[in-house]
Amino acid sequence: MKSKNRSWRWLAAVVVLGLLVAACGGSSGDTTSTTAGGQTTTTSGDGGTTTTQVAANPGLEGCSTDPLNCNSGPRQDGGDVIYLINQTWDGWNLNRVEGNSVYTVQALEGMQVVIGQYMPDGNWVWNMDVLASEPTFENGVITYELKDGVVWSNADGSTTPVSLDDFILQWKFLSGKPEHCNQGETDDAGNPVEGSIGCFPASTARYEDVVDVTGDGNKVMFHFPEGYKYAEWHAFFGGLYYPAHIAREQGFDIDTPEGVAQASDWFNKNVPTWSGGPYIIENATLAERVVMVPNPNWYGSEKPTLDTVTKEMISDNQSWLPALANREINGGSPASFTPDHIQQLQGMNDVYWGLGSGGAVWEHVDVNLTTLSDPALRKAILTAIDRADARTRIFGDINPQYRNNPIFPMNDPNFYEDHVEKYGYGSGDVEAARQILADAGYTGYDGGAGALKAPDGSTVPAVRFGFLASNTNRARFAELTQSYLAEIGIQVELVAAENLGALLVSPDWDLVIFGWSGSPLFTSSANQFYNSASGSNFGHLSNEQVDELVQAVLEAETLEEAADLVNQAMAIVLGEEAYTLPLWDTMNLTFVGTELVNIRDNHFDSTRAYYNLAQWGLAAAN
Amino acid sequence: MTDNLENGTTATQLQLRSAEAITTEERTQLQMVIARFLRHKVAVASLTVFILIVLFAFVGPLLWKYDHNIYREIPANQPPNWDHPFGTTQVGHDLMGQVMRGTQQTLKVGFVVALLSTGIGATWGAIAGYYRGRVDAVMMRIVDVIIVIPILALVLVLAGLTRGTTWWNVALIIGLFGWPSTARVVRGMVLSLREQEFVEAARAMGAGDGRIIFRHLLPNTAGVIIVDATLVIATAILVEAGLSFLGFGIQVPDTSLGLLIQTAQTAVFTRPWLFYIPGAFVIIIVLTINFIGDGLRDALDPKQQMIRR
Amino acid sequence: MPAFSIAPVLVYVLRRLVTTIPVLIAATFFTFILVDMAGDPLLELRFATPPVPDATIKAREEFLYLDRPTLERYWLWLTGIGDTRGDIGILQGKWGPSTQGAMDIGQEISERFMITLRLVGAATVFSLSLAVITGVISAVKQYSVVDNVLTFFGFLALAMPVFWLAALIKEAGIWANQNLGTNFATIGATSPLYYRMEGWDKFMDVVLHLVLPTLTLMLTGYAAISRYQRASMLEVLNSDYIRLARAKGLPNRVVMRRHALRTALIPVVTLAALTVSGALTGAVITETVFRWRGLGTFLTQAIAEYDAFAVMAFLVLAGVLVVLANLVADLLYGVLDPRIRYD
Repeated sequence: MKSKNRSWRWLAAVVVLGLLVAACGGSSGDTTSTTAGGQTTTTSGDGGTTTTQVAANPGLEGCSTDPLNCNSGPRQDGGDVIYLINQTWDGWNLNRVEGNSVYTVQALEGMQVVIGQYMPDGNWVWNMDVLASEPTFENGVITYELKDGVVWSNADGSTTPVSLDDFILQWKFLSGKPEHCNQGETDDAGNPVEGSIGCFPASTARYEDVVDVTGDGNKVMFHFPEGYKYAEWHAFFGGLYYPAHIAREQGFDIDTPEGVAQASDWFNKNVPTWSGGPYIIENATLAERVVMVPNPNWYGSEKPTLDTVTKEMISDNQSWLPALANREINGGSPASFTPDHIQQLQGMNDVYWGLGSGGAVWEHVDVNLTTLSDPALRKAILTAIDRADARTRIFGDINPQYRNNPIFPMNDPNFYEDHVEKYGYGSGDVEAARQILADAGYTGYDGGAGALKAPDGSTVPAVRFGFLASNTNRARFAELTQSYLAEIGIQVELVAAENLGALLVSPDWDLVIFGWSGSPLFTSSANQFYNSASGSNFGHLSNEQVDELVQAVLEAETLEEAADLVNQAMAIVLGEEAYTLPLWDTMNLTFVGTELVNIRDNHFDSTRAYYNLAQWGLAAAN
Repeated sequence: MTDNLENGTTATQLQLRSAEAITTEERTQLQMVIARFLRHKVAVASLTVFILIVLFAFVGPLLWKYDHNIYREIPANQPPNWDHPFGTTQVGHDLMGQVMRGTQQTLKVGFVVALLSTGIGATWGAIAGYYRGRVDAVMMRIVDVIIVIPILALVLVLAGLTRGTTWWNVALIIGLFGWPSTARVVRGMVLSLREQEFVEAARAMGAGDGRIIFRHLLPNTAGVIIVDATLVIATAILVEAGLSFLGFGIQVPDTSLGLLIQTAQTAVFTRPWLFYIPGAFVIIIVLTINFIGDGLRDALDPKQQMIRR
Repeated sequence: MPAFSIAPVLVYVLRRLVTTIPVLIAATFFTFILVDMAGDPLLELRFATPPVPDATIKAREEFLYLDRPTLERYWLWLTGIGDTRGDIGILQGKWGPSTQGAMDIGQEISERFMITLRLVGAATVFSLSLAVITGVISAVKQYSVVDNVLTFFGFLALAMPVFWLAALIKEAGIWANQNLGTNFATIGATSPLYYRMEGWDKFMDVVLHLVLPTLTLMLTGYAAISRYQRASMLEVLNSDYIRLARAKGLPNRVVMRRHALRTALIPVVTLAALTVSGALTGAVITETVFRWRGLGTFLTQAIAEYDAFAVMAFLVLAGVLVVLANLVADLLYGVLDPRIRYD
């Protein structure tokens, strides 16, 4: 009895001790990293450059000036890398609604036949491992010429050449035409098709305009209608993921709409066991993890050296850095992060990290023109909002790049023009804002929130500020706007929405903050945002001149012509209409263990750091 | 069982005697309970701390210069200091103002849930116990089902799908599922109480079922219900915190302790005060409530020997 | 132990199951209505930018049976009888389509069930053991310093939000890895390359991933039962027959083990069902913190995606699991305590 009793007591003591250690470990870690982090950031955080490099980390430090070669170095053979994917993906077929997400793109990267891609410096580069010559766009026909020896590697180790069939299948998946693929309607008997319900194309843009796809030897030609305008034709086709021969092997007759639908469904539900890229999937679980090994039949010039690459899904942002410290992951390029991540990274050893932006994702405040119909009031509101103050309060030392043009980010080398600062928007200049109101006949602008009176003497009603409730940064911006607009007598009522899309199409807001995520492609954006007929023109801007200009952008022959038209339209959208206040570009964070080389962020491609998977490797020992 | 009998007699007398007599009777019993409770030192200390926290949450905001909103003059990321005893956030919240508001909302959730679930649970249990037979079987099977499914799961489904957002919604949802344990306990007591003479006496005097249940049976289970309510409050506060952690609880611009901890998740190392202070408040509140419940149980249970110092 | 006849037990079990089924069905109906009213799983799709083709949305509606009235959808979910594609009907063992793309609910939930079972199983065993140990110590040393300290820590464990404790334990684990050379994992139930491992490596991989989350669940779960154990042990220790046993001159050790502990264990064993339910609740949060791909994260994800059939699948599984645990506990109670009769 005695002895047993004592051992119990020991057990209890150990448990208690465990708790105390936990508490100590936590708090001692805190203090060190706070001090270290605080100091480093204040000294070097203030950069107006394209990529803000806050701390002195050799690996990714040079990315702002040398985006293509930073963190490069000699590698040695072998190594198992685990890299982050920060959200789940819902299917394996990118062409379908369920599978179409950047996370599916990241999960699959390495197994597709790459035709071309945007590089970290923002330039489109053709993949000459696959192409025999640079593709062309002439008389409405895009021509790709494939090299010999470009092959799919099958699960059993055999190979199959990449062929016209694969391109045709891709076209049928995305054309949205019932003669190509069953679009989910019922069959002749009126019943739903057993086991397959259609292609569910995520978007049919451009593919719906393709008239035919033909081949000629190694050439593949996409035929558009005569006189078809397509300034950004280079980005039409990025890569091939789904081989036609696999679909046929599975027993689908891909010459019929039903067969294509079945193939589409099958490709979505099954892990790809084939590859046309440097790596091939060995083991994978949907929405959880992908393990890749080098493709034995890889035809490209850059040979992979790693034994395995694991892509690990961790959506909980709090887990990333502990997992990195524990080397349960070796790095990551998550889509969002907090200032705390930066402070923690500053306190970590053996880790490179860097911040940057490609300007593709950015935040802005839109005005609802049906409720705030007086341009003077709108201009006063946009002027009173203090962008600099909000940026510091929300992002601390991260300093995301300001956005001064809805279409072109500040670091766009060719077409950027300021359409925000020159009008004084976002300056937080209270006196200027009050002057605008005074000139327009308003009174009570210095009486505090709710005191503002319209020229006819009526009280200006509270302005409803809408935002997505789950986005903390936007919620904070909304709260801050309350304090900014109080200075010009306007009361702000917060409208926290559960679903952004539903909020935007509802009439329940006067101001709204949300983000656009685009790509380096710009010709359709202006039309989508500001054409009075567009479904994405949520604040109901209706300006004939703007409509004409953005329509003309779509039909421009060259990028230069298109950009010039875009900037003309922006001068009206912002200067005259005071319709929108662009805020800042969303920053990208990449962190990676120092044991690896050639991992760097690509802000211009949704694959992010995965873009050059074949080059990743274990750093060679010195 | 003896204590039930005693209480039972008391209740019968409650009905039969004059009003003055009732007050005397009540006071003596209440005084006894208070005296017993006061002997439980940890419980008394807990009650003191708890009252201080309640004052902090409900009176504090009237006295303190900041509430839970953002103010431009509040500097970012200050560790605790004289101007901001709990420190400040990046955006410009005063954490003490936030914790006051958060504690208030959290306590409100706890109290409303306690009211709801003791109300529903006691009525449910009393009806089941009183009628017995098939009614009891069906009612208790329902309790079985609700009690067996993890409460957080049930609450998550409702809160997540209706996206709770306000403290009132959250409280309603938790209260809707917090009552089965109360129902069980009360049913057990009523099963034995209903066989006793005072119930028969009441029935002989022509009292209806409703009157017997609400005037005779339920008052006699008050002790158990009160103790149970303390447990329910504690559970509700933890469930609310869990909901907020998973992102389905009270939402900005309002706040709760759970939400404060949740938003400070990534700040554990960089700005520890944001994480530890609201966390400490949750722990202290739940701890004191549990100790108060412990003290009440001892005080309300005459069988218990008061050896505790 | 008295003679134990199986027939009345079987009758009892059958009766319990028969009465439970309608209640479970009622509960699923209630939940289904709630889930159905809650939100539109295709909302995001309808308001997507650029707009998704109408035909695509219509096809998704058909796929998810959203084109049917609520009552019909519930009927289909329950029975699968009617105009279906043969992928729905829980009574036929079909779980229905998921809003989460290619996910197969049945396959997904059974995989995740095994993972959660591992965690909940380990946590239940450890927290029961810890509860019995601390409860007995507290009772034997009633009102001693040890009792007070154990009581205080029990209450403290009860007062801690699970995620708060989990975060601390995770940090402690990482600290230990860096300073003590241990190898605890903080993410997932197994390593990525688990499928390549064999034998001992496989076992150790599982164990190292289990340690921290199990510790979390154990600490949050043991305290309540420990209090019961203490109370029950005290009652037994103060009972006449223990006094008699002592009076007979039996050694303290024998009295404790043979008589006191065994009797005091009875009510605690029946609490095992409650522990399972508690551990399942705790698992929702613990799995989130430690990134386990189990039932808990299955549920939160299903809710986030308005995945009605997946939520229903979870509730049915959790409900059945705990009903079974309850039943087993009741039966155990009967085995341990001969005074109980199944009539």
